[in-house]
Amino acid sequence: MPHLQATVTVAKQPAKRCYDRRLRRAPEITLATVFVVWMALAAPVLSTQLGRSVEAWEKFSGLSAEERDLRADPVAVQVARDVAAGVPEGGCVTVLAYAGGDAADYYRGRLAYLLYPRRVRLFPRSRARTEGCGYVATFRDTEANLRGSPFQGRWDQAELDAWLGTLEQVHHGELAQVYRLEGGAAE
Amino acid sequence: MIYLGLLLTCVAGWLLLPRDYEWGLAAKLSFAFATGAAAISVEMFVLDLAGIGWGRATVILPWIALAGWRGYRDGAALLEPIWPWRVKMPGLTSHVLVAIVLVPVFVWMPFERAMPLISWDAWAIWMLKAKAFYADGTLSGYLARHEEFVGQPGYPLLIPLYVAFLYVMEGGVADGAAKVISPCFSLALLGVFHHFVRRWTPPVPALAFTAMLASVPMVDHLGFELAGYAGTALSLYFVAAAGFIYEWYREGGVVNLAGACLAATAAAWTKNEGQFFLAAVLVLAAFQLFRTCEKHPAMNWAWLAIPGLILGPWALVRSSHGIEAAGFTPLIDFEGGLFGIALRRLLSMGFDTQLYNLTFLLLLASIVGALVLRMRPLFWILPGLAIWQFAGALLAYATGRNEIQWWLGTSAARILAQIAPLALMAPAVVFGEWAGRSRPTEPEMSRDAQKRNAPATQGRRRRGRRWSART
Repeated sequence: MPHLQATVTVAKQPAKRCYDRRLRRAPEITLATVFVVWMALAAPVLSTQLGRSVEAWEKFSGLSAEERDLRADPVAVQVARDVAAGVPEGGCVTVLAYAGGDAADYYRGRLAYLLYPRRVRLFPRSRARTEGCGYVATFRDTEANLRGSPFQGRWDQAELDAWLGTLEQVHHGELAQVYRLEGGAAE
Repeated sequence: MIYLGLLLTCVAGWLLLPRDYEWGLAAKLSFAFATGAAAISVEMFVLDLAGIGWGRATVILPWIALAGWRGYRDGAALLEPIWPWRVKMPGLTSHVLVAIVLVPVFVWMPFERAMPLISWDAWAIWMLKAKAFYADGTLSGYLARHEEFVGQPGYPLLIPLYVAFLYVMEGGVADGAAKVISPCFSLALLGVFHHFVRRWTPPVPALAFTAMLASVPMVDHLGFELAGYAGTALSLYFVAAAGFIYEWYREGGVVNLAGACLAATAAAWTKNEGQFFLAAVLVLAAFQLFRTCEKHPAMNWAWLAIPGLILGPWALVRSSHGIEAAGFTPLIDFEGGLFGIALRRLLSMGFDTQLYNLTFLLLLASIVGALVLRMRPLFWILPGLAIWQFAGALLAYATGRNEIQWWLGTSAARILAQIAPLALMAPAVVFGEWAGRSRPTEPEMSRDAQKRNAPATQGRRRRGRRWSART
């Protein structure tokens, strides 16, 4: 009996070790497989991004920060420059914008950023309350933008022109015109 | 001067990090940047509360004083592990993997550096606040005018105040240059992630997991294209807090407890989602302190009060201006239908390999793996925190504060990208456990293998044990 028992032990031991040896590599093999699949999935995305990076570099590198801003967002940045030229820091400006609803939301946020610390109130219509605000500015969005986000408000150009004619124009910009309301200089 | 500000950030963070801890150079730089950015933003907040103002000298002087004290106390040891002979050179496989980690950075970096500040949240929320704080020289100017702005005036201040610090250094608003902080947070995220994963897995798999994280498309998009957002910083503090709390459960050590509390506080100081995460970390910390109270000095409880010291004053300042934190209350405003819509959308996005590669699939696989391996209960901290954040996002969407499809369309991908690095930590732990169990026991290992798996820092015993084969 002792002899038989010994035989069984010797026969089983190598099989177990062999099994263990194969299993030992399982984590590394699994991770290597996952890694290869992962990189195969990542490669096309990175390749596309590389193209975008090259394009962005060619378009913007070598430009000053101001030129980059203007090229990336020409309407909002140009309007902001026009308004800034006419409204002092700390002043308040009511912007009457011929722009679509979504575009108006965009310009409202964008001009608030670009013109801070000036106060900016933007309305997509030709009439708005201007109490407590010393300046008024008007601009018309580009035709391309208006096709994407059509104007939906009320715009009476003749009435607006008549009203603006009574105000002092302080800056005639490329995209926006700025006027001083009574008491605007005191701000 | 913006770049000098970034350098000062790393120096400030370096001065705050404990000396007696096992850091690699890349890890220490990453933690230094993360710590420095958070500390400087808190410093700016305190200076404003004290009415001192933000001149270059007033902002930098405390750090010069701290540098003098640390230099006097620690001497040259303060510079560890910056000395080149202490930096271990990895093998060929590791070199290749480091190169793979850096490929997405090199692919994205020219795009980030070339583009001006163009993304909505950047200039509507984070960078607007930074510009306003810098222009006004105080918080109160913007906060008093908060009703004029479409952004979220109640959002926390880490990014705005840190960027305001960079503007103070620059002497003007330079948003195109300042948004480089996003790639910096991305790099720090990789360094911190690797630091923890290296503790749980051997060196090569740790780099492999880091390379995988570096190439998750939405994580890169968040870090490089949406530069000026707070998402990448939040991811970084999530990973740091999760790593520290897990290490504290695993090994103890007040450094890990302090790291978890501070990083979770920084997350809450970065974005509102971080406050949800902070709650989970504090509950985990309190539970462990109660459970093992005999091992901990009572002073350890003090770390749990840190969030209140920073977030409390901010809540007071915010409410004194009548500003809400977020404008909704999860659970109280709950709508079941919206929860279902958000769940379906987040799950379909999460498993989109074009957005997150296999991140969330690996998270599920790690949960199955942990069940099969019957891992210790502490493992569940990591997937638990990722799922907690996921659930928090669902609860926020279920409040119906905004039109749900628009809200999901504009934020869900970013929310998941914030969680993705956290979600990749659990697979690393499971892999480390599996690899450890599959390896021969120590006496069976060859001398080479033993050398390979030895902790990186020999000699004086330090906190933070790295992975070694376990049975």
